[in-house]
Amino acid sequence: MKCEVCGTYNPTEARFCRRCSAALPREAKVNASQPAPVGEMTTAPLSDDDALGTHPFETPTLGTRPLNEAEPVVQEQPTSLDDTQPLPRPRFLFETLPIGALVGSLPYEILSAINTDSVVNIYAAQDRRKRIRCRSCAFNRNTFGDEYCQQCGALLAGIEPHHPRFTVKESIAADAIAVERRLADLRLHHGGAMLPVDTFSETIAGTRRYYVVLPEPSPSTGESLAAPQELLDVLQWGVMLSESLAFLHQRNIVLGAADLSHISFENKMARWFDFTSARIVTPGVEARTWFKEDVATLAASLFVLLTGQMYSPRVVLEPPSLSQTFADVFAGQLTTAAALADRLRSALAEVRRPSSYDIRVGRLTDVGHIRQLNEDSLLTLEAGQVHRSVSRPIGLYVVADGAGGHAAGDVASGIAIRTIARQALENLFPQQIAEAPPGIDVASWMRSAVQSANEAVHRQRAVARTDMGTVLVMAIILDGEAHIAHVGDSRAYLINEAGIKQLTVDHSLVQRLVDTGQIKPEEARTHENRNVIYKMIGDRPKVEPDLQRVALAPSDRLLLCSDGLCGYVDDIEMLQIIRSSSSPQEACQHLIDAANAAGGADNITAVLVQIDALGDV
Amino acid sequence: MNPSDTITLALGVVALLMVVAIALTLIRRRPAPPPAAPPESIALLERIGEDDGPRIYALHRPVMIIGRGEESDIRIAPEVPGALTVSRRHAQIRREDTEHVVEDLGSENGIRVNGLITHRNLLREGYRVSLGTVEFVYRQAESSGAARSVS
Repeated sequence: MKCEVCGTYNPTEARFCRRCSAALPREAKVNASQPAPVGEMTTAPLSDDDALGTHPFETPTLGTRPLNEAEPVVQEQPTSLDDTQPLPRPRFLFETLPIGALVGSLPYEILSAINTDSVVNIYAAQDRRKRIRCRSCAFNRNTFGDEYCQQCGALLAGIEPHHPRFTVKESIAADAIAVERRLADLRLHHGGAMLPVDTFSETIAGTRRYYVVLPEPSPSTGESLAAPQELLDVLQWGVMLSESLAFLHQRNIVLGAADLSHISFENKMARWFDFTSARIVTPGVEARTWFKEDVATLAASLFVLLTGQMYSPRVVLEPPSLSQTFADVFAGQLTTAAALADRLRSALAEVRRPSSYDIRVGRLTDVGHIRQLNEDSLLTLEAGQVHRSVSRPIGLYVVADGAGGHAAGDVASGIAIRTIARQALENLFPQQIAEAPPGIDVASWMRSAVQSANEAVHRQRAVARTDMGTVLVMAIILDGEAHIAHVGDSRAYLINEAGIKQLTVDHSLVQRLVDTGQIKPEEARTHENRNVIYKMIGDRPKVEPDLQRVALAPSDRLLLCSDGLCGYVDDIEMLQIIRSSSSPQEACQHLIDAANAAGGADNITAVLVQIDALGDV
Repeated sequence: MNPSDTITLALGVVALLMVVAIALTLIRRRPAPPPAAPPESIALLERIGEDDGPRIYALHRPVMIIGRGEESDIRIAPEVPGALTVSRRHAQIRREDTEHVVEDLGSENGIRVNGLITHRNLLREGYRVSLGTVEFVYRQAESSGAARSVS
């Protein structure tokens, strides 16, 4: 793909120019990271001439597409007039490749043979070319000489190029590595599974050999790990592994052997590897039994890592909810990987919740470049509270984006935040600070605050005879958790080590079109009806906000913003800005600068709340 | 000596020094040695065998074809023992940066590197390459022929 700015040619999947870091047109992006919905999954026939054996499993054949490889034409006698004297050799010549052999189109350079037998050879291999691994997004296919990451546009200066390492499996019997080849061909990507990345075949001295390429696992597999391990580590691994297991199950892939020998550990990361026992199954009752077995095997493995012994209900774990989770798995009550991930995630949140923390806030609003009037309003209210050296401040944050023009949108967003502020000072803060626990029910307080704001705006609308209204997003930080309520298309994002995650789902027409699969997520930003909102404050006598609760960990950040920001600056860019800013206030300034640089067509508001752990973490 | 003589003398010394400096610069510039590229290493294929045929082949072109055919860059003459096990166009050796890669061109008997069958292979110092039963050793000799420095 040619960069429109500097004219450099970039690989088709590149998102940013490797020379000048300009964003490349999105249409041309290969959508490999978007996993296909289950129903649309395609399975590929391995190849027409797999003469050896049949495939040992049933697969859903909802569609077919050819293997993504150029099958070399087999030329047994390339030189037609060749009078060469043939040397004796077996029908199938299958030996180990020598060091330095080059296979595949990358190509992969064979470094050493790890294991060889009469059917499958396994090699350590490396990309023949040096690559640069991006520090921000870990994309490791940037080529030597690239100045900017093709995936995220980050500067690559000062990063040492290296040869990415792989494990290459080779066989003359196509079905010996059939599952892995099929998985490679599905082009699935998940951070928690070292799925095969490539498959191809080569004809070597007249015999076809089949290959599958896997990422190189780290030397430490679950078996080599000493148990017990730290609770926090095991919980984190458990969340990663059960999430990736859920990802695989969703795509009808059964691991078949979800034990410790199939888990690779590296830098706090736990990932599945070795898919030789995996199967692609037909959805149904039987498949669910196999999924359940995977979940139970994973739980058993986690239990061993936690305690150093096999599961027993007599071993009590902290927090107690964790004991319950294991009990539920082995009683057959917790059967899906997604449910296990949820339970482990909440156990993790329970363990990690900072007991003592502080809040730092950045807040800024800007009229933008086009509008005459700023119809956005923001509110931040905080109460610091330290008792016995434990700091547990309370914060209320609101971003309201009014609509309806002069003396309408600005009025509506103003009424909304004032109503919420009044209610917070009347009961939220007094009850939470002055009274003994248990404190207030935050969810119902938020619902009633939003309803009060709605009524106030709705009344004013009748009085002023305008069609004023406002959307809003509100967050309350309390006891190490964020409670979030929103109406409309102002958004809340959670930013942490893992990246940036949109927490709220817009009450907008385009979001519905995305949810129902009528348009693609990337089309939403430019859709002609992107401003159509079906739920807002003041529109009707009653409104029901969406509520949610998110556990916060130290150094987590929460961003509340109006669509003047998130409609013009994409998530990855916001993440980069926030990460590279030295304070929440500086981040807000840079976010607003970025939205203005993108045109500044709307009012822009950002509130960034950062949780700083104190003391014990 | 009057002051003007002193000045003349001083000027003369300065002028002389400048002439010497310019001359030195010119002398250093003049015999411009060939561009200080890293010493071009010449890779060789050395054929192994007891016969009297040619043995040393310099890999001086980016791509060189090896075979029994007359158009081959490295031709295996019929007198060479085992020549009949070599195809007319058997393999090619291609230069990639500083390395060489041997590739089978679909020969009858294939190629082996260090005794193992392969299709496309990097060559390193001392690797044995067999085409049929004719065997070579790859040498990355340095141009001067001086003792190789081990890095």
